[in-house]
Amino acid sequence: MKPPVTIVRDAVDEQLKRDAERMRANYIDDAGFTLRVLDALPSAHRLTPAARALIPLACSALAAIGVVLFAGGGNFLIDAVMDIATGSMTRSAIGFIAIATLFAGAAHAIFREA
Amino acid sequence: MAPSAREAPGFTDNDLILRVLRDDDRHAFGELVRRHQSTLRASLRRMTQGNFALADDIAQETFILAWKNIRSFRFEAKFSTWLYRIAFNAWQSGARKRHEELSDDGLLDAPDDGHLPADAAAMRHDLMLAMQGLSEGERNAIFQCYYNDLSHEEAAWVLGIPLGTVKTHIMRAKDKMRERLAAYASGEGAAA
Repeated sequence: MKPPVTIVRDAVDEQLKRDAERMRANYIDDAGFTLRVLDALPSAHRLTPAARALIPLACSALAAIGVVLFAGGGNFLIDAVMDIATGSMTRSAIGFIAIATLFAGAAHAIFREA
Repeated sequence: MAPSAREAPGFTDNDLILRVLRDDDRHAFGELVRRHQSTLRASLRRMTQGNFALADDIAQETFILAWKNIRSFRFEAKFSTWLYRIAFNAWQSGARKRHEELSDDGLLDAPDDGHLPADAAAMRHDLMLAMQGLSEGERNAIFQCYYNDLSHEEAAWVLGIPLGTVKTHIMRAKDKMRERLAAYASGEGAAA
């Protein structure tokens, strides 16, 4: 036979719930609050979705142009990596870093949009 | 053409948030503000111990922060819970600066939620006094779980503390309040 269930009243719990319910039930009239918030919102200087989509495209295009410009003899990547590895800041090395940064920027922008 | 948020109040919070995310729709955000302003302001009035002006300032700051950071809303929590988290952080970040401005007996000035019967007013008074004896963490946990009606898990997220800590705070807070309320009831140190 199961022992009788004893329900213990938690007076503090009940008082808190009652007080909280009273607080929530008391509707606070908007009285212009929403309008004040909307007026205080920062101006919509955020980019439109179309403009946002153009950022990674533009970065990728610039990076591609850079690759074409710097890849004169076709050994651009190898030269650049070798130069960076040996610590010499040649034209190839600087170009490689710039192009890599552009690609990273594009990747970041695409990732954020996703 | 889809109706604007202003013309379609039947939209859920998530529908409105999606409109804000997709089109930077201020009307949709305005509808979100209209829906949640009362509960948030009431909650903040309690948090600020009845300082209506300060509560409204924090509420406004909360909605502006929500607008600025709406892209970080991941639909894992309710919008209202996310607002409580922003509001709590906004209140906390300014709490130290304001600390000196609040009088020790500020808790007694909890906002009047309409005309209370005498016994309810007395109960409120005792409750506020009992809450004064709580630590800040205990008071915050009680506040989120009871007055903001959050689960322990949601309160832990809002307060940025582990779930176990919330449960401990609630348990200790209620023990302390029980002792204090019993003392008031028996006439010792009664609420003057």
